[in-house]
Amino acid sequence: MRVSIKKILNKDEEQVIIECTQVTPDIRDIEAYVMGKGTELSGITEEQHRKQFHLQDVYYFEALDEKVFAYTKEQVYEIKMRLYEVEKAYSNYHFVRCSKSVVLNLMLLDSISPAMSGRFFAHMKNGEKLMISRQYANQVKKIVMGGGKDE
Amino acid sequence: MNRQSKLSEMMMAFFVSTACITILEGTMGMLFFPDEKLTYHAFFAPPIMGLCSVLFGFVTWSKRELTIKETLLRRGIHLLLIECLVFGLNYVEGIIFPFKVAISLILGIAVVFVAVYVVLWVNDSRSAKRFNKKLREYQKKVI
Repeated sequence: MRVSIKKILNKDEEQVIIECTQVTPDIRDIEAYVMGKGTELSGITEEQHRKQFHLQDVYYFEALDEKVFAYTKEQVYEIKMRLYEVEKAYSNYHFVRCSKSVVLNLMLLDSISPAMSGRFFAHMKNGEKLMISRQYANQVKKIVMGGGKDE
Repeated sequence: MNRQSKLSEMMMAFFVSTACITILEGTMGMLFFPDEKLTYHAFFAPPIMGLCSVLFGFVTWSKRELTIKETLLRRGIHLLLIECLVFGLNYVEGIIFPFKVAISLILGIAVVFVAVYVVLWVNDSRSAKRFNKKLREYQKKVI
């Protein structure tokens, strides 16, 4: 497949056009990848509909059975990204890894409370309770508390 | 949890358990052996027992994240090891406690064990409170 990049002057007119004879799963993957690059994401709902949603509405991303899901207040979307890609791509948007399978949005985190063995519960603003594992607790604290002494 | 915070947690567990063991020994002595005279060696018993208790905490250590159930099970094993240590050492010294004393000691050790975890939990709770305050500031700063 040929790839060409054309430079333009107006940022608002930036776009990716895919020209193909058939919309194959590979093309869908490329589409999902491109959609995942901005702050507007594309995902598949439980009813198997492809929908757009905003990154700031995502409470957390969770990896389950080789799939990654984004949880908003009303919907759960399956997205075509790996959890480590989510962690890397959205760290600048206040998303942080809090356990092996979850990346949470610090802006939609309500509070934390102690659990067992150095672990903490993360109480999200939608009322959901997630686990901050002891492996990632310091990383989460460092981001919010600025790497202070309290670890 | 990094090595430094693990070490400070162990230190805290050591000092809290040493203090609690001292109180437990004093209380049990006054209740069951009020006429017993002790030597200076007795002062070393609480820190030694405290250190052994903390070291026995290796059974709760795991490379992977344990579930709540697994954590509770391992803590149960930890408590059992401490009880065995106390009764084992006394048995080696030729001391066999009467039933009433033995039951009181078993319960006393369990209370000390729980007290240590309560103190650690309170410490985590204070840390969470500070985090929540900073989180509000962080969220305000970003918006």
